[in-house]
Amino acid sequence: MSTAYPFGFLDEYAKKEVRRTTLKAVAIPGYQVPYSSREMPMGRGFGTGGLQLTLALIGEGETLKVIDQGSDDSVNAVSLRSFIEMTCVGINTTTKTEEADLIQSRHRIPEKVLREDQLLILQVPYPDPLVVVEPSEDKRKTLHGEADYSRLLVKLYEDIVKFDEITISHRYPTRINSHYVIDSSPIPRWDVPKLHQSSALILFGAGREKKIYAVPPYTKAEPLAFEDVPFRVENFTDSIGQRRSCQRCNCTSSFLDEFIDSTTGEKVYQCSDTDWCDTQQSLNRSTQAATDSENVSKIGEIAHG
Amino acid sequence: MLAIDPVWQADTQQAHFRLLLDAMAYPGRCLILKTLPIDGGQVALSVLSTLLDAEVSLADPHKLLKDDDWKMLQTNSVAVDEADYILCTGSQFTRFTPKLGRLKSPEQSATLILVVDKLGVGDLKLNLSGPGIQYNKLLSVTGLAAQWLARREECNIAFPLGIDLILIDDTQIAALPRTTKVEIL
Amino acid sequence: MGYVAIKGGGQAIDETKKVFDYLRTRQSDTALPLDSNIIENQLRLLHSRVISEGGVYHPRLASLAIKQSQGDTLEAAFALRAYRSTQPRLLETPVHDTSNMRITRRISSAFKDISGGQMLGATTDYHLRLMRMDLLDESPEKFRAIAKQWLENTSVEHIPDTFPKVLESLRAEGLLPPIENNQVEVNQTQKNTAEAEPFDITREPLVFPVPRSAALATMARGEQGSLLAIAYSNMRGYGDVHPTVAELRVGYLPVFLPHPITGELTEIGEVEITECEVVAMYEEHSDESPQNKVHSNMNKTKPTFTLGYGACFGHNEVKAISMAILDRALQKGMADGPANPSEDPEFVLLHVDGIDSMGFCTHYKMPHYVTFQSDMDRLRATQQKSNPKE
Repeated sequence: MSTAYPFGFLDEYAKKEVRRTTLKAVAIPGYQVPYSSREMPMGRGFGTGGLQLTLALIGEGETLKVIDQGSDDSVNAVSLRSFIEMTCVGINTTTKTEEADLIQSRHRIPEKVLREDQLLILQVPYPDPLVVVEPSEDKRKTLHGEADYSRLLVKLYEDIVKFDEITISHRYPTRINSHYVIDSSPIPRWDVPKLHQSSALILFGAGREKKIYAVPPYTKAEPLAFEDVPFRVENFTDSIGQRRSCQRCNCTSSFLDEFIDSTTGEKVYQCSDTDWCDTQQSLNRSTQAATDSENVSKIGEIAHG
Repeated sequence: MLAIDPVWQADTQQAHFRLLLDAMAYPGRCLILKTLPIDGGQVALSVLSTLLDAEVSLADPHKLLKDDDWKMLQTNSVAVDEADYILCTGSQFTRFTPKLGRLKSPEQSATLILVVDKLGVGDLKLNLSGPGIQYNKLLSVTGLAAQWLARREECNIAFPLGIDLILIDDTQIAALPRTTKVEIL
Repeated sequence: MGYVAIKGGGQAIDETKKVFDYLRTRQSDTALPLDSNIIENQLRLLHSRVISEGGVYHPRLASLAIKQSQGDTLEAAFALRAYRSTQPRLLETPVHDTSNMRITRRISSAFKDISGGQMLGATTDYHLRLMRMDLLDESPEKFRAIAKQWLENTSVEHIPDTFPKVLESLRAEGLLPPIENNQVEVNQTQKNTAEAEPFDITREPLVFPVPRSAALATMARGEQGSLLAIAYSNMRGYGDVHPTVAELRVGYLPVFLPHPITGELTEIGEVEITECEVVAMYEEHSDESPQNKVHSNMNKTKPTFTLGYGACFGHNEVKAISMAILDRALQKGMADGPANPSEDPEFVLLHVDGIDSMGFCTHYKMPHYVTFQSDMDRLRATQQKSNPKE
């Protein structure tokens, strides 16, 4: 019994359906387009929606990056990447953001700014921001069609009254092209501004919920907020008001992971985006090397002065 | 030996789909097709073969396709007001009402494919703006009757309902999703 | 080809595969691997369940799925379903008539006796659930003798080829509406398909409201426990189907496809299925929702029984009965609006697929530390607001 798979694992009809759905998603920014969504060998909830997009879109000779929580080495990213390597013979994979043609990601948008020739595919567990205020999908579709998000705004307002803050952490509801409000997927608020006027097309795939939606390039993406309670990204300042830095590369401008070091037991902060961190580290090394060689020359000058 | 036209092959369709995706994401951008149908076949087949199968439907009111083309497409032939995809000659305007979608399901709307003479050159000069366009984009076209654009505007007046356009000349494609504002200069 | 080098995460995954297979094989120095035939024959009902939930009738691969997943029915169904995704659609069969079934079991609770007789077959319904300790030390000789003896003592001469459907007698008497009314399918999608075409859940997502065929197809490969739990809620009072089993039949349905040249319907094989038809009765109600005239069995003068239908691959009676009850409940919910969870199509149909539900349940074990970081940020900000520092 042979298990020879076609390129991209999915049969051509499945791919065509994903492709047609994606075109409509781009033409109707932020609208969740339904599709039949094939079962994949990994579980629903493990990125089957993002995966179907990648498999339907990627071509021989293209370069793919897969990350989870910003890291290429996270178990889920590793598992997805091996599957795509196995079923799409002829593609390249990379950890370097700037080398990738397609980036499939769970829960982060890379720190490096994406270009027009790159494609970002985000994995989505819950595509619909209105789920918190309306359990019936049929009713939600009417609200979306009419761009009626009053109940969602009321919910945000109730949060403010109760907690003096908007308490939504990730999956921040964001209005696209002044109509559809999307669930921005479990990216941190830190990443939401990257949706606005992006050079690259950003696609969202929800496999279990069977939806694809898109934020086209150069499109308005506005996180919901109030005049007196603005949208805020995560705060990385410490108790004395200093912005925390990455323990590895010293960066003070990236989203940081907070964890306990398994050997020292101390609290540690590190860049969530591992490729970004690696890049900062090598920049640090070359800056250090340049400074060192400058110093050596200076010492030489003084010595021979 | 049966020679299969590359437009029916999976790798060609993947490459052509990426061009279509780019065209829809960056409206007005003209992209060159990788392969054209052999033996002077209908150039629109490069696009139709990529998108169509038995799950969707096509209307060909200007009779641009041959019987053999329909057999290969394996799609459903329906009236123009029911079709998911509509193929027409750009220079010849025909008035009809395509599927515009419904408020709850705006994706159930037609994609209109217009075969024009030349993209990027011509007397019809369009100034485009909207999602996918950083500031504005100029697109010239030869062989597109301006009435198509007026009709498109009528169809797209009630977003999210509307239609999406794909333009195709002898070697290139471009797209105008319903979100693009078109100003005729 | 440039590939990313395997680092920590990849090695961890590799090790999980090794330890998983270690657990499968560590029995003893003289242990033998499970044979697919053993699974298909001696774990027949588990095998049926996996075929049914996997949604593809492939007995050999269903056995393999059970073997590789070490008996986890959700994982096994999952593997089969994923396999199904790789297979292209070749043809669609015409509508099949289950009165053609080669019956192995067939009963009716509605009548004491029925045409063709009550055939109990291989049921456990009347068994005493006592532990059969003698099976702990079953010798191969004793094992083989059982089947041999049963076959010797059984005569096949007077078994009819097919058995008539019990519902026919109810229809003949006018207690059930005639077939024409029940078969008209209101196609709720915008696709250009002729009326009375079944909804294909593998090709289109469920966009509510959905036609009855979509509900039945979803439940046919639904997870048995989920269907049972929701049907049970209806039985206990969160609903009022009050069903009577008109007929439950188990057996083999011959499958017909048109011959590639002559076009004549030709049998290509048979599939084991379980089918259950329940009848239920409703109080009179006067509203005639125009969408669902087919579901309201009231003409002005004569009420009739209403029908619930369930069918699935393999031998699985609990599933077929649960399906039939839910079919009736959902029809009521679609016509009158749901009064209970079991009558709500969105609630039922979106939560009974084992692959979807188990996948999402399992995903909570994946790294979520970036989102959790974001949550901690929000909580800290909120705590600060309620307890401002001096």
